[in-house]
Amino acid sequence: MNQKDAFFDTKHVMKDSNMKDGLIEEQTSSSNGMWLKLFSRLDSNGKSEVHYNVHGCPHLIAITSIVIGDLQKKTIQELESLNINEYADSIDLPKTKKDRLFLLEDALKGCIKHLKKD
Amino acid sequence: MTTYLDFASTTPMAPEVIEKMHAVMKEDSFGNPSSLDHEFGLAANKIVERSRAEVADLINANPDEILWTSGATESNNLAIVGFHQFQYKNQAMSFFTSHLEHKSVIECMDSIEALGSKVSFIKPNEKGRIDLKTLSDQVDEDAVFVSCMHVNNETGIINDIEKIGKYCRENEIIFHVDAAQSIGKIPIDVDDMCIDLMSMSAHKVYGPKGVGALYINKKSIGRVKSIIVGGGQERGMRSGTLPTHQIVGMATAYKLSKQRMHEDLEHITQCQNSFLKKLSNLDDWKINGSKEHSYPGILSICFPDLYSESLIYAMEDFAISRGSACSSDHDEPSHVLKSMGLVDDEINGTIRISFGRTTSIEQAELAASELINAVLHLRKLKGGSQ
Repeated sequence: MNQKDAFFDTKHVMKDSNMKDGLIEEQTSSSNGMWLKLFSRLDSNGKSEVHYNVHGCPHLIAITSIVIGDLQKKTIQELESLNINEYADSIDLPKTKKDRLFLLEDALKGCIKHLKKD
Repeated sequence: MTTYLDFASTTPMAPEVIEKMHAVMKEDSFGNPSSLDHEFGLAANKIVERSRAEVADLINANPDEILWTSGATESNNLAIVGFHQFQYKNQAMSFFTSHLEHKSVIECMDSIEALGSKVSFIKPNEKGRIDLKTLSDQVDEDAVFVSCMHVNNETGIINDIEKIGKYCRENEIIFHVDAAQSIGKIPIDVDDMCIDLMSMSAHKVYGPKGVGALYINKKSIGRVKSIIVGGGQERGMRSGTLPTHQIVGMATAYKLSKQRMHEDLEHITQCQNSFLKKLSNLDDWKINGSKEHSYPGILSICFPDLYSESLIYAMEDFAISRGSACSSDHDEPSHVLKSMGLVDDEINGTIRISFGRTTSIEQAELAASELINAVLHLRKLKGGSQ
């Protein structure tokens, strides 16, 4: 998926954050007001379901959309092996916007932690 | 095809301007307008002087009160630094301006402050306008210079130049106006408005980039000190060979603007009204400044819950700009919006849409529709209901 398509894609967007329906919320935010919320759970086969809400620049939105798309139906081990940095090239993320990846990485780490506890 | 709605940033050159510039470049008027010993120089000089008269005509000035520069930024530098250097007699002077001004005014003020003069900033009201009462309360008896822009480049707000000018004239204060965004768009009469120095640009009004002018009131000022030396052109106040083709482009653009001013203003007002009517279906947004006392071609719109950079990205069929550079990773938040009292979220969520002569009503309506879709998309991403 290219940056534009990813930016407009809403497939895994959490429609209403009040209707969690068993999903566990993990939120990260940056100093410039951007934030990311992940909502996750494991199904009966131990496979992931992840949704998100995001507020920030087009790069953060696009990369979140791409990464969250790849997080679906994964085991915890598969989620842990994911390298977020590899996604930077998929949207030509400028070096000055590297912190968007950290936001995503932190949210994913928190998410995995919750899923492990579950 | 992308629709251009960033006319406050720059405008496309009018076909008449291109034609005239082209003709001058093709004709035997390539001579140096200062080389008056032969026909080539004389021909170029004739064009330059005719253009000077046309520029003067737009603002009710005398041709010899117009000085060619490279644009409004240089004009602001020459007006402020040139005035300071000409008047400075090892004694600090008191200058007044506001944070509504373009950086070229503010940074010139910083430079004269570094030389020992005093610079004070007048606080605009919440609509982004300079109130005469605030100005007169703040201006002290040592004041020698007030700089106030006519139309603000971010909000479109129009300052009451005539009132401020009259106050300055009565109090023997030199009055400088940055008219980069207003020249050719709304009427200016330097005499009625009691203006002493005025900065002008060509490219904001369908002329070429790289050329502008400074109006210097002959009676009240007469001279400023050159900040570019080496040649003595422009009566010793601005050295450098004059670009005949650009000058003729500027004069043609100004002449055209004078002819079309009423028609342009009416059309642009219609564009703004159509845009705002459509946008009224949307919640949670506001105009920075107000519709009253503003130039309709510039709209600063704030969505405090959104990120302007994403709004602009989502409006893929339109070229619009951020109201500020706050959401970029390197730049400071807009000093204009900050001085109006906007908080960071409001500044981060501000976009600027500017209409021009070539904008159609349909394009303005489409822009509003696309903006609504962009806002709804971004609010959905945030988890809000549509």
